[in-house]
Amino acid sequence: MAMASEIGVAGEPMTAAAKLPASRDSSWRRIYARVFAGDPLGLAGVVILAVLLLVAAFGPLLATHDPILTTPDTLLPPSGAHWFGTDDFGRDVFSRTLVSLRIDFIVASVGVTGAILIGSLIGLVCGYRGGWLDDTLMRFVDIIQSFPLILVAMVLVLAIGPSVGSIVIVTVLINIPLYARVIRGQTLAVKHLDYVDAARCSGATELGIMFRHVLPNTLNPIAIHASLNLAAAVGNVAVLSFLGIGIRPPTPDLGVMVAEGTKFLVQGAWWMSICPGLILCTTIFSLNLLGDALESGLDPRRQDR
Amino acid sequence: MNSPALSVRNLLRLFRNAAEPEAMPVGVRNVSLEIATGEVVGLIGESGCGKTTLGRCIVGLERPDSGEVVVGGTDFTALSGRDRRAFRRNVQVVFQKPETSLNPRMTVARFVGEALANFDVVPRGARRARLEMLAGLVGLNADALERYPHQLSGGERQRVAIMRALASEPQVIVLDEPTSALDVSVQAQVLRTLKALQAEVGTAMLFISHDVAVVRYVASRVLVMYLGVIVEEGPADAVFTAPSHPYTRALLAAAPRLKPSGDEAPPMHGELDLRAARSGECPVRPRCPLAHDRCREAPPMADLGDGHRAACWLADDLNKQSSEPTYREKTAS
Repeated sequence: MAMASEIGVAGEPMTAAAKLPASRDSSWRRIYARVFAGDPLGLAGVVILAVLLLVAAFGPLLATHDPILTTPDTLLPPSGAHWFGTDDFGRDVFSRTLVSLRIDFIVASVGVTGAILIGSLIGLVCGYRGGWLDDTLMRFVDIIQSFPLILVAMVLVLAIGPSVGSIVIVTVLINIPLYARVIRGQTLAVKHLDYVDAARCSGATELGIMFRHVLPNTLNPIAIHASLNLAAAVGNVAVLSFLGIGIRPPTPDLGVMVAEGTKFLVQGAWWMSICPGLILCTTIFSLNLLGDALESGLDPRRQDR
Repeated sequence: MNSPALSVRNLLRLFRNAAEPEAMPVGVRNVSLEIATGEVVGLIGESGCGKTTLGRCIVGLERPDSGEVVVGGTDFTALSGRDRRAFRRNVQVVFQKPETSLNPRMTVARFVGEALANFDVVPRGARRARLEMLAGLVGLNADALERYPHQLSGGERQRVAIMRALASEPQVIVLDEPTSALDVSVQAQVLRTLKALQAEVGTAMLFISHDVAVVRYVASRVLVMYLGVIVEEGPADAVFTAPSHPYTRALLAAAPRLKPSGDEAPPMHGELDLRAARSGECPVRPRCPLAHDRCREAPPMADLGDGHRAACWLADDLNKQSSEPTYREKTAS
């Protein structure tokens, strides 16, 4: 081509760039460096969370006893045989804690994932289309947000009965507003950028523009919100179970265990509440540490720290 | 001139300022222009004069209040829905800012490939080859196709933006200050590529810029815009050597040059002020050093021959004055 000779000058910076590995690997390493370098607390959060997730995944295999088998050995304090002691039915508290971690993680993460999917979709449509659709959907989101969590949970549990499913639905519902608002705001900022107009000129349909050009560029803040939100969701599941409107006994659940244990606190059987309670605290704490690390690491305004 | 690639007729698009209902609305007022196939027309004017709005109306990103944008015999503004989307193939755009002109989540090949796929420019199997051909055309290496925008320099990104515009084989490309955000050296390279492209592809181009020197380099014909109207137009040589509107003269005098003569055309007073302008009179009047009573009536376009026209009561005199050898010597750079 006639232009090739001219291009020589422009080609120089390009060949320099060609030496950079453009693989996914390097971008993960970059994220790691940005988020966790010089942030030992964030790193600690990730490590603790990883351990807890492994425990949740392999809980039943690691359990030293059958978590729902009742035995005559009731209310034994922590010992070599029962690390977290036993409860009023003689069940091993350690084994029950391991198993409950899994269900609590699943309920919280399915709930948060559902909220991200539905909330993002609402936010995207509202931000992109605007007008009456935006007004209507966002008022609906306001209404959800104005109800207290416990009230929504109680109404739902009355309507569809207490089950793992209803807890998931409650978790989805109460977290929709967060994601709807975040994505709506991002969409409003992104939809007027030049590349969106360029895509329109390239003949993209409105749906194509929304899902290929706008949505992928609004998702950055989701990682931060999701990890903090997951912490809150784990707590909420426990709170609902504690109040008896969540996961029902005999299914092992951290909130249920803490609740049942309180009845025996006065008798001095502290381990029934405190042991699963500490695990619950550690879970929420590690998620919060991760969220904080992501927030300060991924926020472009704080990159210069 | 045979039938033009683009012809804009009485295009009107105004934005009113709700906070200041007394001020003149900004935008484009009844602008008409034509661009022949293979012609590069420069559109110059200061910020806020409506040149970007005009460009956005032409490429169909903005709906004009009235008027027509005719490309290849079809009025773009009359189309909607699927027809409008399909018609976009014929009119393309390159934006100013290299940092936002590409989707950061897409490789060059995917971003540009969308145009090839959406308009079915070439069969699926031939797309890769076409992408490589387009990359070569704008001076990019083929391996740039697999890069993400953050892995490209500003100049390379603008080349990709030009490549995207070329992908659909349009009849008209509107370039909205395509080089003003680039370093001067990179700007020169991109301009050279554009000029070479012009010779090779022959697409009609509307080159919008506030940089007189850049327009002078690429354009064969020039339009000067002020407050939504075209105040002077003509062959680039004629407009630049014999500017016949006080605004054009001030604009050229304000352009930096190596050897200022010291007595360039008198500058405009103050800055563009919408509250001072009145509809019905000459839009330049509040700032014009040569303003007089007659300017309370908007002047018609005076024909100075050879397609050179200026909307000023004094256009003939200014044209003669500018054409005099002494004036030319003073303003030659």
